[in-house]
Amino acid sequence: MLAAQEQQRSSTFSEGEKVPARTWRNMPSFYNLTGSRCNGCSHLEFPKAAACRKCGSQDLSEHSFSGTGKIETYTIIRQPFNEEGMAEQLVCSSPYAIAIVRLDEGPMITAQLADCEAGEIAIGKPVKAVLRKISEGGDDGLIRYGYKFVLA
Amino acid sequence: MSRVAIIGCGMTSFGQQWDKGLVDLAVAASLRAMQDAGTESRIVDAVYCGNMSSGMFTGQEHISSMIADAAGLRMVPSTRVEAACASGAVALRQAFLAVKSGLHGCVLALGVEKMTDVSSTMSTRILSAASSQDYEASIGATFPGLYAMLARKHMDRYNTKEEQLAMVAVKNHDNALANPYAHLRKKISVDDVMQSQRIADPLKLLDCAPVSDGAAAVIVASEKIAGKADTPVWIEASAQSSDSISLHHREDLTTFKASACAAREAFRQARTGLNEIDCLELHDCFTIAEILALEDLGFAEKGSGGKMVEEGLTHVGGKIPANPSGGLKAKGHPIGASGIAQAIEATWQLRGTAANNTSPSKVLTHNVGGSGATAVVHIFGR
Amino acid sequence: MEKAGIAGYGAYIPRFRIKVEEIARAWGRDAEALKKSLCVNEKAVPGIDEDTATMAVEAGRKALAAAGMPGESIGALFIGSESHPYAVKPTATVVAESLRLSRGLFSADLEFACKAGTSAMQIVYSMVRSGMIKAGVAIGSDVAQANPNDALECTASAGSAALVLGSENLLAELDATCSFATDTPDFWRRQEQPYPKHGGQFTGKPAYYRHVSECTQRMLQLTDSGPQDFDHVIFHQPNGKFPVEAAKMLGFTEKQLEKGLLVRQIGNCYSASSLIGLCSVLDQAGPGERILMVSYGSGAGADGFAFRTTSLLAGKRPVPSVSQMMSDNLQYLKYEKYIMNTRR
Repeated sequence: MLAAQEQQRSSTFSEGEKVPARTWRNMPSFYNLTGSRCNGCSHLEFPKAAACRKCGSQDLSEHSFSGTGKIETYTIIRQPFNEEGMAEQLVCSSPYAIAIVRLDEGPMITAQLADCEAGEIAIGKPVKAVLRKISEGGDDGLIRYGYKFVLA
Repeated sequence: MSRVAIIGCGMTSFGQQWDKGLVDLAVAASLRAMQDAGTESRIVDAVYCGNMSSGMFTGQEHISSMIADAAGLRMVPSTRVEAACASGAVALRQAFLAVKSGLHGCVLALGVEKMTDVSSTMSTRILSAASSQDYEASIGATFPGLYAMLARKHMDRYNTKEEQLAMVAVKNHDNALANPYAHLRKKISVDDVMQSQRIADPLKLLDCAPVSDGAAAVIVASEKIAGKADTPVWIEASAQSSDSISLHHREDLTTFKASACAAREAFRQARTGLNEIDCLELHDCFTIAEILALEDLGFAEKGSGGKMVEEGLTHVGGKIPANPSGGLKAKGHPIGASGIAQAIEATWQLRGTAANNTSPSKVLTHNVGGSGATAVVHIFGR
Repeated sequence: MEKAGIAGYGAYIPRFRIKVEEIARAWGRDAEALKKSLCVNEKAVPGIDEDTATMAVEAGRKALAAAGMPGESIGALFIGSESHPYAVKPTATVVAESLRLSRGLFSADLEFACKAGTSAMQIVYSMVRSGMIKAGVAIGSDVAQANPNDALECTASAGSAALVLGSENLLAELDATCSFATDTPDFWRRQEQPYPKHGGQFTGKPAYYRHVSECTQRMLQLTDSGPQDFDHVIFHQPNGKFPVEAAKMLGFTEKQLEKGLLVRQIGNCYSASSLIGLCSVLDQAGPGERILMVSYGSGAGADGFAFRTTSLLAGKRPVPSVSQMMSDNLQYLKYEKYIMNTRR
């Protein structure tokens, strides 16, 4: 059983085995909502920008967002996202909610809403960021942690 | 500058083609297009192939040369073009530019996607690669999910009804009944849509375009070559625009700015206006997308797209028919092929040979990549 | 030697609960009998995407905010748990990165059954007192495992508590700490096994009661006090019976025990059990009050601590409080949903 799974997983070319570097280099944004602030025009962005999308300046510094915001729009996803043998398995309930959240500082972010039922969610409701398991590479793979939001 | 025309069209049926692989489909469409153009294959001097994700769907990359070879087009430059669901229209635009520049005289523009060699869960994941992998797809935002969030916002802001979304599907299914190439040739009712399986609230199964295999190809030719053809259809405008890949980087979640921008540029190129367009092929990967397109292209007031559909203005025989082919929704949506198939429908409409003939003088096609990060608008005339 | 104590604290309990009745229903068991023997009514259940690390981050963020200290000022992080997400790869680095602690951090994951969190406290406390660090964080965090249909399934729960230990701006001073340990195999889990095994009634007298009373008596001697000198007492809470019996046996009243006794509503969150009890007491205690806490870890050992609250306590309480997390916004799960959330 295990060996068969292993074989299936390695033949899933569409995802491939993720080298840990990808998880690692995204940690600042996924753990601490680190984006950027433009030193020229103060424009805030998440995730970190290479050049300011507002004024084009490349003089940016890191900015970590507070993690509070409001639901701009949302959906309840009822399609399965995981399948036996896929290299990366999403860790969430089924169905699960995805929202675009307007952070209090201005920028928007797409994230899962954790710990809530469809009936509790509404546009405009306040939410706050928490750290959760986002996905894992099977029972023996790496756990990818990151932000989700819960109703505040 | 001289004009550029479509002189040949060919496509496969769209749907689950268990007995055909990616190259089989692409070659079948290409050969039909060349036959339709009445040209010998040696006249084709370049190939542009629109395809979103042959690598993930089938494991095969480098398909441009592979298809050219199998279609008997060795030694011509063959290039694969990718812009998610807009790959087809972008390939057409590359062909248009190549001919317009004078470098090539006769170019094969094709689009192909072989989607059913993977499970539906896997195809959901592959399609989500058209959004930001790190900040949308990998956290579980599926493609229907992204469009569902647009629909939710539109419903919240403009009081658009789920039933109005459903009416888009009903209309496009009606249109597909007569189209022999269509994937879903089945009449449905608003109730059927409303009661179909929920996919990503508020979108239900019948709000979504199906997962289809298929290929479509056109022969794009210079004015000189097209002059010898029986029924050339002129590409009067080929415009493309880009926006942020992620919805969360947009200012407004009820509009695709890139669509509006490409349309403006297309009208400028064609020296025409909304009123002169009398048939539309719109990017309706989800029902909400057709409503957004009607508004973004200027055919409906912002927020009133749902109402326009409800009033029947976009039916065949209505004020401005939208998706007489059945659209992506019912004709099928083999990702890379869709943009080319739209151009084929436009050509057939203008030749007067389309299944649901609307006898237009100008047709506008609109192909979107991802959740609005790429938008391509073409205008065709006789 | 530096004086040391608690500069900030924070607890985290997930919003999900399952009632003993629901577990009993699933297995066709007698709910009343189970509740009576365990003295537990319901337990906290983690969200499907929560684990020891994510809960530790929640508790840690609250504790640092309550302490008013930036992450860079923290010199050590030790996390006790018997459900570290990895067999090899530290929980501590995930938590440290999320709390933005200093890169010169002294850190490690600890395991000593349910007392690993208090072992973490002793390590951080000794580092502060020795002057090695100015402040450090000790966390007890667990997503407790229990074999389905084992009595343990009615108690094994999830939660986390973090303490910032330092030498300045203390909300409670730590007067003394001691331990008592022997090799007593009352509860164990081998590597790669999903659920622990336990010795049934053997977990009582020779294990829990012996170690808790030995440690408590040492604490009383060490602080030259009697049971009546403490305003509050907290014992490890594997069920609702053991801590109550132990208190009675050792001469403490129900009143001294009540503010820190949470097991009836949240179950046994293993390494976080006594620590969340402490957080609950700190949420409610007045200035100058004395608190005795004795943890217990199977295998077996107990750690004792004597605290004295200061006038800063009232101004450093985290929100939501433990009692808010026990009453607000709760969601009760059916057994099948509970299994989905806890399947590892």
